[in-house]
Amino acid sequence: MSDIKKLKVELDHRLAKEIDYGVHSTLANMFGMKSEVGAFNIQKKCSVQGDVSGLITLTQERSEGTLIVSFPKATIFGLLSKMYRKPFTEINSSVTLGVGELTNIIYGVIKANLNKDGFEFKKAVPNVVIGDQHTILTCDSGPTMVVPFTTEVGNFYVLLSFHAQAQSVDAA
Amino acid sequence: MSDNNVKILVVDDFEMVRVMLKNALNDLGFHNVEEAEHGKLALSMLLEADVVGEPFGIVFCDWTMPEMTGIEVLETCRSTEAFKDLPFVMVTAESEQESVVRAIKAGATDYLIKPISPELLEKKVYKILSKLSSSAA
Repeated sequence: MSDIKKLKVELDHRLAKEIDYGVHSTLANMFGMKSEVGAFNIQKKCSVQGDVSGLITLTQERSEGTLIVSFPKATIFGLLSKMYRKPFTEINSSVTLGVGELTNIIYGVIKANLNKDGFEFKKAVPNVVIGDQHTILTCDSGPTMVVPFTTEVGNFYVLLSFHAQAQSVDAA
Repeated sequence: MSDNNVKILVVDDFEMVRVMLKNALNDLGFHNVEEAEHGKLALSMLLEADVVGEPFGIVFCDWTMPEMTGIEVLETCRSTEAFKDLPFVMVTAESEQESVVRAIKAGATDYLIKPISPELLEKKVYKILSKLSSSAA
């Protein structure tokens, strides 16, 4: 019974803390940049607010979900300008690949910490979606946790949702 | 050749990570840094550098890459006489113990977990250089 409880992923403060840690350590180490986390909220549907988003499917034995890291253009241009030491003004392959790798690294940190507690999330490959205020059709239909972040170059968001059946694992 | 002239190869399919590592190494005073975007290119660069007598002194290689993974690059190096002792640092987003053990068993000199901290990178580079200079003494 305890094993089943361990597998449940709640869209709660603990998870928001793991997301914060994943973002904070990635930005601090890779970009030498601080990030401030805001209060998370739970949306009924997954609604992406950025212009370039990296998404990665989270899978484990009992649940499946989607992690999205969504950047307004100004923010990702600012981040990459700091990394590349040159200005970015358009979405090119460096931007899309960079968002994919950033998503992958943030997920890696979150996954490692959750897996220490037995969640056993598996390896996954990120995808990138581009477009002003785009919609991600593969976003899950269940509730979505939205965690906002602020940096010196602008805001961005991390969204996390799980299929409804995964949320009900603990209730079984 | 002073330590800071050591020739370093950074292998990663993601440009952003190569840029980050190269900049961090430059900031540490290492300016002889070259990049490869996949494992096959890395191996050909290693061989060519060896042939012309300007071998690489350290390799930082990503684990997950298309065509040829970092582990495959490492295994190929370790089975090649010229590179069997080449300092090889595996770079991975996988921090699980299992991955680290696998890399070390395959002959990795050390490993770095993404997101890479410049401070940790510095420690690893100087640890390798220190070992090289003591084994050369």
